[in-house]
Order: sequence, then C-alpha cells, then structure tokens
Amino acid sequence: MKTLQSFFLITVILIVISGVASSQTVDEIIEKHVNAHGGLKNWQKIENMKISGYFTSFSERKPFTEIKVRGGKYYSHFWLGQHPVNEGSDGSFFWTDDPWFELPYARKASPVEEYVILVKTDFFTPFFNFKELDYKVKLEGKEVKEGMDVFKLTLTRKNGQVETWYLNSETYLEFMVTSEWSDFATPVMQEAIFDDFRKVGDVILPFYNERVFDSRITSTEIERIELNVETEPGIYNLPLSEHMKKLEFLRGEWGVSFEALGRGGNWSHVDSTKSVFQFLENKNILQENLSYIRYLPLEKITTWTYHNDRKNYLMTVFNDIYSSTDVYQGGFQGDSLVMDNTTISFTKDENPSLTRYIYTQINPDGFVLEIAQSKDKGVTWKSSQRFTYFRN
Amino acid sequence: MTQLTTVFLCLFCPVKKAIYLSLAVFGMLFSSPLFSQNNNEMGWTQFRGNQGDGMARNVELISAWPETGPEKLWSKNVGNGFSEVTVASGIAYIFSSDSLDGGYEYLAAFDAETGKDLWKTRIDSLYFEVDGWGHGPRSTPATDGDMIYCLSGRGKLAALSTRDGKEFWSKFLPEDFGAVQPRWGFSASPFLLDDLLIMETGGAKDSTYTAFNKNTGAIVWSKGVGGPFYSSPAISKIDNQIQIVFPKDTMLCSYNRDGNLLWSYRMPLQSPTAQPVFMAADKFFVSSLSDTGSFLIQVNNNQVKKLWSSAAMQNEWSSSIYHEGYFYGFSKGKLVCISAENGAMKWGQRGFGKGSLILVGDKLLILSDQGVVTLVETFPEKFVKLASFKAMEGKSWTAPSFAEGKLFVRNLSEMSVYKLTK
Repeated sequence: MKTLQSFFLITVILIVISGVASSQTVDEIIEKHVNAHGGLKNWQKIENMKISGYFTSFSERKPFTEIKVRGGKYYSHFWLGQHPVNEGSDGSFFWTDDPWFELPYARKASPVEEYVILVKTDFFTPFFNFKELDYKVKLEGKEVKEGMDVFKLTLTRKNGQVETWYLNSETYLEFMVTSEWSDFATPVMQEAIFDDFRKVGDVILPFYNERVFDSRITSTEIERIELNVETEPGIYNLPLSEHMKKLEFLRGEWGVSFEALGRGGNWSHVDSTKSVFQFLENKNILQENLSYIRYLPLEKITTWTYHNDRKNYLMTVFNDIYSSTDVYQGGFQGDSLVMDNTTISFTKDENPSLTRYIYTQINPDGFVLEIAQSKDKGVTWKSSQRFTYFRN
Repeated sequence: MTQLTTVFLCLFCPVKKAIYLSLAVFGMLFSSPLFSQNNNEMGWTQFRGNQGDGMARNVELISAWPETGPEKLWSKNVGNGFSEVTVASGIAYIFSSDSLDGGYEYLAAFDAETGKDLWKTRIDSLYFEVDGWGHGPRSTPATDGDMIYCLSGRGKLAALSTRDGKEFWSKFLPEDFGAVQPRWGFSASPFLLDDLLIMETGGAKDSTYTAFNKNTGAIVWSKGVGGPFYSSPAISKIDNQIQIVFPKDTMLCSYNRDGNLLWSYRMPLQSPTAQPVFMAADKFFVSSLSDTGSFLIQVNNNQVKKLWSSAAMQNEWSSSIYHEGYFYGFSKGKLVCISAENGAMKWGQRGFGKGSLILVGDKLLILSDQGVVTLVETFPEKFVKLASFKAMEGKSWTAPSFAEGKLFVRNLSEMSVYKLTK
C-alpha cells in the first residue's frame, strides 16, 4: 500500500514538474534561441541584410545575392539550374521572374511561391519578432533528430502555414525545419537544415543551408553578409518587362496642346489640357487618362500592353463619348512609335476605318502624338489631330 | 587477342595460373552471387562494373591521400554525356558528344594508363536535351574485349571493334523496334551474357526486351510489353539458371536465357531508375524515389516473396551498393546505410548532393554532384570518412568507374583518371 502511495506521489510530482517545465520552456527556449543569435537588442539594430554566396540547385553551383529588409521587403537574384531567377516583395506584393515558366517577364507569385518568399524575408529565423508578426509557437517536446537532441516547436504563421522547427537543445540554434515549399509553383513538403553558424557584427547567422523537397536538393553557401547597407529602393517592386520599360518615356504628368487640321490644311489650336500616364501597380500595363474638348467634352482611357506571341504592343483606346473601345497594335519604327488598326477587324470584312497613332519627336521633355487616317487600305496616311505633350 | 585467349594463355603460365586459380576460388567463395558477365576481372566492362553491381573486387586502395588528392594520371576535355567510363584490357572507352557541325555522339578509346588517343568513332547525331540538363549519350557501353556495344541518346545501338572502332552492326531502336524516345533520351545500358547482348529495346509489339546475337546483331528473342525507360537489365543465377530481370513501370519481369518469362512481380513502387541490387543470388533490392522507398524480395521456384520495404532508402538514378549485410546508397540528399535484414536506417550523411557511389575493395568511393571524391568506410554503425579530394569542377552525375587500379570520373565537360592503388 505504501509503495502504491509513493508511486502515485512521485507520478504526481513528475507530472507537475514536467508541466511547469514545459510551460516555462516555450518562452525560455525562444529567448535562448534569440540570445544564441546575438540577442534581441543586437537584432533590433539590423535594418537590412545583403547576403551573397553560392546557391546550388540541380547540381549547378552559381552565385546568388539577396537583400532582406526589416518589414518584409525582399529581393534576390539566383540561378535555378541553368536559368537566372529574380524574386522580390515590397512587403505586401510578392513577385517572381522565373524563365522556367517560359514567361520573359516578372509575374505575381503563386500562393505557395508567395509563402516561400515570405519565409525568405525572415532574418534567418522567424522567432525574433514572432509575437509582433502574430505568429503562434507551440513546444511539442524534445526529441532526437539525426542523432541530435532537439526541441521541437511548431510555428503557425499569420496565413495559417505551419512549420516544424527543431532547435539544437544545447546551442538553441536552429537545426532543421520542415514545412511547405515550392517546386515550380507546386506545393511540396521540404526539410531544411542549417549549419556553419558565424558571427556577423553582433549577431550569429547560419552560413550554410540545405533543402530537400520532392526529388530536389538545394544548398546555400553564404560567403558574405553585410548589415545595414544602402540599397536601391526600386528593386523590391515588380520590375517592368523589357518591352514595357521602352514605354517609360510616356510615364508621368503632361501638359497637352491639342490641334486639329483645318480645311485649309493648317493646324489650329483646339484645347489645352493635361494627361497622366501611369503603370498600374505591379502590372505590365500602362494607362493614360486624357480629357479634352472638341465641340463636346471627351475622355480617353488608353491602355498599353506588350503581346509576347505577336511580338508587338497592343493599345486599347476607350472613347467615352462614343462609349467604344478600339484596338491598335504596333511598335517602334525608327524614332517613332506607330500603332494602327490596319490588321485588326471585328468582322470578316476589311476594317473600314483605318486609324494610326504616331508618337514622334520623343525626347525627355515631351513628344508629339499625331492621329492619322487612311483611305487606301493603309498605303497612305493623312494626319487630322495633333497632341503636343510637354512636362508641366 | 580475345579475353578468352588471354585467360587461356595465362593458364599455362605457372605463376599466373596460381593467381588466377586463387582468384577464381576466392571469387567463388566471397564474391557477389551475380553471374559473372566476362573474364576481364580488372576492368569495368559495362554499366556498374563487370557484374553490374557497382563493385570492383579484390582491390587494396591507397587510403591515405595527400591533401591535393591522389596522383592524377591524365585528364581530357570530353563533351556532354552521362555514360560511365568503360575499361577493359588497358583501354578506357568514353561515350560522349560534341556540338561541332550540328552535334554528334562518338565513342572514343584511350590508353587507360596515359590517355593517349587510340580511336574515335562517330555513332549518331547528338541527343539534344531541350532544357539544357546535358546533351549526349546516357547509356554505358559494354565490352567483351573484342567488341564494344553502345546505345546513343537517340536510340542507335552499335557494335564496334575495340581494336579500331570500326562498326560491325547497328540497330536503330525507333525504326527497328518502333521505340519512342523517352523524355530524357534512350538511357538503358546493354549487358553481355555469353554470346547474347541483352537490351531494353522498348519497342512496340512485344519487343520491349531483346537478346541479340552479339556477333551479328541478329535478334535471338524479343519479348515484353512497354516503351523504353531508364533502367537496365540485372542478371543473376537463381534456382540454378540464369535469370535476366527487367524493372519496368510497376513490374519486375524475369526471363531465362531463351527468353521465356519465368516470373513477374508487381512492385510496391513505380518506375525505378536505379538498378536492382542483388544481396544474394535469390534476393534483391529495388529502390526508387517514392513513399515506399525500397524493398527486398526473395525468389524461389519462380515464386516471389517480399521480405521487407523501407522508406529509409529512396534511390533516384544513383544505384545502391550491397556489402556485408547492409545497403549503402543515396536517399533524398543523403548517403544512407540501411540494414539488409529489415531495411532499418543505420546512418545518413549529407553533403554529397545528388551523388553516386561504388565499392572498391571494402571501401565506398563517393562522387558528389560537385565532383568531390570521398573515401568512406563500409561501417554500418556510423559514417566514417577516410579522405576526399576535388576530382572535377561542375555538375557530376555520372558514377565513377574503377579498373586496373585507377579511378575514372567524368562529367559534362571532362574526364580524369587517378591512381588509387600502389
């Protein structure tokens, strides 16, 4: 009987002790983890990190660079096998420029790619500011992982993604994480390990990382980490495609002088107005809003895109007075940008109304748009309207 | 001089006779139960070595390498290709490619000791890998000493004289068998079995597996259903008869020398690219990158019994090695040792990427996917590294060959030869 009582007593004590230990351990472990990385105070001094080294994927070892900014801005350039890839985020919009998808321009990241970029924005470990980011952490216990005693923690990000982190129980540094990852935009489970911890300034960071997911193995060998460096502010935004960059001369606010060709063949001033060209946020679309008066008030909304298969620009012109949209296509011809509707028809018949937009005299301070018509199926053109754009 | 003649003459030399007899007895007692394909004991005469098991037996390696690595005998720039280096009778054969004049695949022979060019024969137009993973041949040539047999990435099977590279006969699998080129090119390697050349031909109309008369190219038999894949036949003596085992899709099929189907077995995994590995004449191991990972079966009276399966070993294209009760191989980024008794994990070691391995003597030679060669003990209790050196630069996906005391490594641009014995 006495033995039984002792057994129960010891069991109760052990349960209480283990309960106390585990309730304390979650915070203690994270605090020790943060301290192992150099401490919260030192970490809080870091505004950004510029990291460079070698990234190996598909057994191809190539240089990489990445920049992480406190608050979630991120940019990286690396090679995925034989193709160069850029990724980035302005803190809320995530994009990737990945030739494996046979798109020659950057695009919005898929949900799993977005998650992966979000993870990459961490200053290596998500535990420094997990409360601030509203992440939840739970201690699952202690176990042996690949021969190492580790603390097993589950971290749930704000978006609901759950990661399992294994921290070395002696050093409190991260040893491994298992989580979702992206394999060509397909969600897969990954196992990543961290190694080669070195001091950078006042913080300790892992200089080696290896990920295994599906049939892939990638490794990151860091050669240099610079803290609090000057960075180009624009690199975190989705970059324009090469073709849309050529239309940047149109971007901005303009004063516009509108002239019409009179019956005598002379240009006469009709109206002075303003125009705004802007690229839609995180999209390869340029849009112009132009209002002017020609007998009646008229508003035009013009959008520009580049059609990769047609290898030319497409322009839509919405004219609110006719409530109509016309489509033009074209490109640069010498120093001019010429867009016309000669090959675009909405019926089986030939296009009865041929119109051409010609952007000429392009210079940093302005350009001229002439709108011309053809009555001989595009052989000859006669201008009827002229818009002279100049910087306000 | 044929290998048979060489052996015949040697048997009349008293000292060599004693050595050969000793080797023969030793071989019978201690070597793998795999049926010996040919008599070039010191060579690496076909895919994964003489017996197709990734082993070079009876070798004592120099295991203390200087920091700069072992002595490099020679190296050469070679073009794209993934074929292992085949070695026999002092000649190294490399199956590779160049992109000159539109691109061709060629088989070239070099003096194994010095690297001196002996001959080079154009085999086929270049297999061009559209995504740039690496062009050129995938399959490893097989030789009996007199002839060498190779399969191009586009499916040309050619038989050449080892003396001068002259082509004796050829087949074109797409035309002659109706085979459709697989995504990554024709990759299966030919195996020699006495007078037969055994190939996965992957043809239409029951011609997936074919035995050719190795001298004439005449079809002796052609059997099976299914297109070409990436694995090669494995040969063993089971139930007192030679069995030729082909893995394909979810099936393992065994044929005898006459092409009669002996048994088939539905595998608990799909499309293994790595070779089956025999741990005994009647027991073999199959692995693929899959949830099942790997399994061991035993064949008795054409009945197949699964002994165990284990997710601890998941071979991708790099095949495992069996040694004294344990399998060593690559599994999801780690070099892994598992028990052959039950598939239990013994240890795993990272750092080799998508590497490959062979067994030389009783040591593992690991080639990392970055061209680093590491000598490792076959020790099941823990990973024990003995030495390592950087043998090549760049992506290295081809398993090494070991022959005549030398290590032969190649990647997509170079091949190098190192002396590893005294």
